[in-house]
Amino acid sequence: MSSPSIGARRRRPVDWGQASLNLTRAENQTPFQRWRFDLEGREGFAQKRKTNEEYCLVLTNNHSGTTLLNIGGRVLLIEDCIETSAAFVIYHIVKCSLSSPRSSGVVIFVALSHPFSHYDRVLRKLGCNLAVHRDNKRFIFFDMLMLECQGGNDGNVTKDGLVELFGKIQKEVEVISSKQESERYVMVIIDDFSLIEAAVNGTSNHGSDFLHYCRTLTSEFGSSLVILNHEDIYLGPERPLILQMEYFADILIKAQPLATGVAADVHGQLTVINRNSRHLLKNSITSFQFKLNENGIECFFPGTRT
Amino acid sequence: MRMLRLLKKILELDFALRGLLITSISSNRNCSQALPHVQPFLNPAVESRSVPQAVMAAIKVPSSGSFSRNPLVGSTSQNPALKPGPNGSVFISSGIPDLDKILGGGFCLGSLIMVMEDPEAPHHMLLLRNFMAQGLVQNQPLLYASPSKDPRAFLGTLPSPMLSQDNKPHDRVEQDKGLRIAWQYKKYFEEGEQTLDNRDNKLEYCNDFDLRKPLERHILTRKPIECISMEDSTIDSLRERCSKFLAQNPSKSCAGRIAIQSFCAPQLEYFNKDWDMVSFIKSLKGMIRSSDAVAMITFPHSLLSTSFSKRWQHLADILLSVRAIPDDDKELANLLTGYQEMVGLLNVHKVARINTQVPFVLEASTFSIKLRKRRSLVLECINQAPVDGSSGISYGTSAWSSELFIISFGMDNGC
Amino acid sequence: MADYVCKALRNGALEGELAPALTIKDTIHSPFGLHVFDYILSQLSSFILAGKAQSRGLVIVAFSRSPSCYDEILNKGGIDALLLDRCIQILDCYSDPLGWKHQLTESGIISSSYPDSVRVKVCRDVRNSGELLSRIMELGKGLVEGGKEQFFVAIDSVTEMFRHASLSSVAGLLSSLRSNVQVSGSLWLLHSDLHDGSANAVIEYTSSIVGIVEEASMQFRSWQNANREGISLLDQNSGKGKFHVRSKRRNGRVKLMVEEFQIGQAGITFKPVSSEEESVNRTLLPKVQFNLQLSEKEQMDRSKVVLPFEHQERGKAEQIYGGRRSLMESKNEMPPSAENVLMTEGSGTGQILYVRDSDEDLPDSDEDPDDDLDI
Repeated sequence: MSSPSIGARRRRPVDWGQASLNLTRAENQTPFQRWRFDLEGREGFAQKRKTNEEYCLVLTNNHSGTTLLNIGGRVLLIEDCIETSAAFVIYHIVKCSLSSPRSSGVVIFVALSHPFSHYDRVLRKLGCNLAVHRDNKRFIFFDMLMLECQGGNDGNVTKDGLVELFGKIQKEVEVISSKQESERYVMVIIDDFSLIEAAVNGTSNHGSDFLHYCRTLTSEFGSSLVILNHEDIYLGPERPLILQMEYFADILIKAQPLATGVAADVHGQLTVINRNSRHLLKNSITSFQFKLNENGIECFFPGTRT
Repeated sequence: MRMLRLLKKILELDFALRGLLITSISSNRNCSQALPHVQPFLNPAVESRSVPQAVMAAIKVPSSGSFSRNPLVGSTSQNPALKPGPNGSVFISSGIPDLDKILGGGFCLGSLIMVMEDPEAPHHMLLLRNFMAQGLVQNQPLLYASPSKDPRAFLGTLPSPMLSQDNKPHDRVEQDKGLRIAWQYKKYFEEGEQTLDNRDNKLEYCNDFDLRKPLERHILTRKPIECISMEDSTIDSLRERCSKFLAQNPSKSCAGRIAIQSFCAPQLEYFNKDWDMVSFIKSLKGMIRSSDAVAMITFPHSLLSTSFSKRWQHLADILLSVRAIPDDDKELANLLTGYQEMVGLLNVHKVARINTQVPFVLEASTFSIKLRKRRSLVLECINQAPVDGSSGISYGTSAWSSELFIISFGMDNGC
Repeated sequence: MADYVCKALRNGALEGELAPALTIKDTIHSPFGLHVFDYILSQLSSFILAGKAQSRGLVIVAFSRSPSCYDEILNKGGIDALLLDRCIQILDCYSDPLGWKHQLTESGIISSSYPDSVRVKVCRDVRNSGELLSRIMELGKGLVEGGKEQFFVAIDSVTEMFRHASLSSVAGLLSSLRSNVQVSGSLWLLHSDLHDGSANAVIEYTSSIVGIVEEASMQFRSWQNANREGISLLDQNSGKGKFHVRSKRRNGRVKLMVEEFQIGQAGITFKPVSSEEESVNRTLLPKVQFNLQLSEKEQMDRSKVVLPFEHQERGKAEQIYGGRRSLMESKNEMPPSAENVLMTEGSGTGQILYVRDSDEDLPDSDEDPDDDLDI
């Protein structure tokens, strides 16, 4: 019911890194811009470009000529909270890496929070047929809804389940990267890391170990890793768990609710931090608000939506 | 309104069609082939169903209020306990008509409902009772786990559906008024309803329950009801019972209901095993999702550490919380209309997002729990009583007033 | 000052004393510890390769990054690979720290394996601190060929070590590295906010130089947390920060130094702390459309504005705001018109003259229409 904050409405974005000049110019032409959350080709992030009189928040790649970064093998961490779910970012990354015409990516999807039918339906409305991609071996789905790592009768937690899962992932990555005919890139997506922790009963470091091994794939095969996690569950003594992930993440996306409460027109705000530590480049931070539709996301700067 | 337009269109058709209409109601068959000329009249929003089915929807789920948004699919009309929702999800009733309405139709099959208890007030039991009673009335399998020694005794306190005279929800009457234009067909509507009712005594999507009247005994004995006392069972055995229970009822038409009361009660053996409990909820969620059942877990969230409480809340598909309201609070009584009738507050924190990425934005997230005529459970938006001219604010939207309510009394959202 | 640290590490240990050990600490608010680590490491390696340092070799224990990463860093100057092989060894604790991959390869599920190369050796069980230490020593001794010469040890993340081993065993490993005669110095990185106070204290205790990477905006610490987060985000965005160094000197004194750094395209650059607060302010304040603070010129301009009635105290010409000229001014400047004369006469007494227009006015309309107002 409530509209976005009045304070936000008055503000106009001034300095948004590279896009600032373009944006101010465009403001004279149209009352507000629509931002599209898009992924083009391989990976990369937060590169803003103007195409067809529309601004795109493009996840650029190292094949498309415009990219500055060589970003094969980056880690993307998505954080959300109870009020605002960031699962949609995952859907869009899947969609973009599968259906973008330039991309020939393969997505390895470790699903702990939903069955395949859920993703299939969501992605179909976004214009991407997962079932077809699955048959084409471009979408490799691990249904881990029932992942349990409690071994034996003594109730001891074993890491075998995770080792096995990692083995499966690495096997797929190896198979894909051994195919020489096309230079394919691989994206490993973990939908909800907190459920992996729950599956191993939170004991010891098995969850973090698993994550570390998934990370090694990024340096070894140049694949990228996308992790969804919830920020608000790591409080007090548990805080280091998420900080540790933030340390090694190259890109951090945070979804937060609006400070002014729930609104029908603005579903929340995203902050994208491009940490880019390995390449010693300037970090860039972008933040914008979003509204979710069945067939896409509308992204806009605070106050640019009427 | 859409409904009305639709009915007008029907009426414009030949009178002879009427016979066809009625037969199709009773046979539940898609007869769009038989009625090729009906098609152009259809509103785009309801294109996937034929006219008779649209009428059916109006008859069958009068309290939904939003049926036009949800195209009917498949053969769910065979089972009145299920209602098709958006994105291929299927709704099952919560047992409280108002809650169904708030959540856009009810609980999605495959969803996990978590209710955060108030440490002082037992309002979660109201939700739990109606949830269980609704399942039993609809002849669905039920598993009930409770920390008490004799969980079966709790079944005796389940409410019974109201008699047919009063079971029309209040807004149904209004809707009937709106349908005056079709008065000459009214008897046929009644007839259609009768045919449904005759098949199984008062099988409705959602009953209104009389909280003062216990459920009839024959309903309790109709289907085996599993009762588990969590006091003397380990968490692993509970998990096993649940998975066995779900495996017994593979048929999709008859979803099972699992109700777990006060899951992390301090007297339980696993109270301190935070991770075991999280892991149980996670696996229960997985089981439910893959077997199309529904589970409701209530838990005293104040007993958990904040971070685990958050974990639990993240695991929930639908997250509700209940709160007590202070008794004889004059200030509150002045501020809220209907304060005398209120027994507590219900907060909706999360609505299931199954098969979609779009959040379901509620107009208000706080509702008052009222007992109408001391027997039926009603949820209403909180309305602020008219304030003195001095403040000069008189916004009418419920969302606003509930926000104000929370702010002005410094109540947290329970998270 | 970063150069001071490098020199201290280059000079190494005096005989009979503990080798210098540098701890680099950072927090998530300013996560540039790795950049500083890389800078010092590359400086040090160039000293070693040029033969200018006390140590003859460098052992890198790679926990948080793949060994290939270090090739990039060390190869920047285009150094001869043979020379690199002779002077640098990397213990790979990153690729397979727990032996999972080894286990999977053994059972035939995955095919890749990690053969040790000339420069990189893989450690498959990092939980065993004793074995880790012996591996490090083994690699180092290989570099100096068993002679009396010394080598340098760099560990890229003590944080990762804590994840696998207990506090005491990690501390034991570090201190036995320091006290070994063949180690000329050591360097490690710690993400301080991932550990509790005791772990931080232990690591600081074990080291002789502590370098702390902080956000540039420390003076704003007193702000609310939310604000602080926003500011640290800005800091991260600008790639700026401060590098504090606390060095325990041999004479018993503690040397404290602060330096600013900036991370740019070419890598990290250090410069002395700028004294001008203004420049700090400019980078710190969020860039928004409206001004939170005034620029100097604006402040000057503002101070010039005469506020209403302020002039009266100064005995200046009375100026009625709103653009109308005051009476005195009009007297001085222009010949008074007829109206003006009339008005000036009245103005001295301060009376209001009212002539009733006609008899239609009711007598009581003479009364103040507002006198029923209760103010």
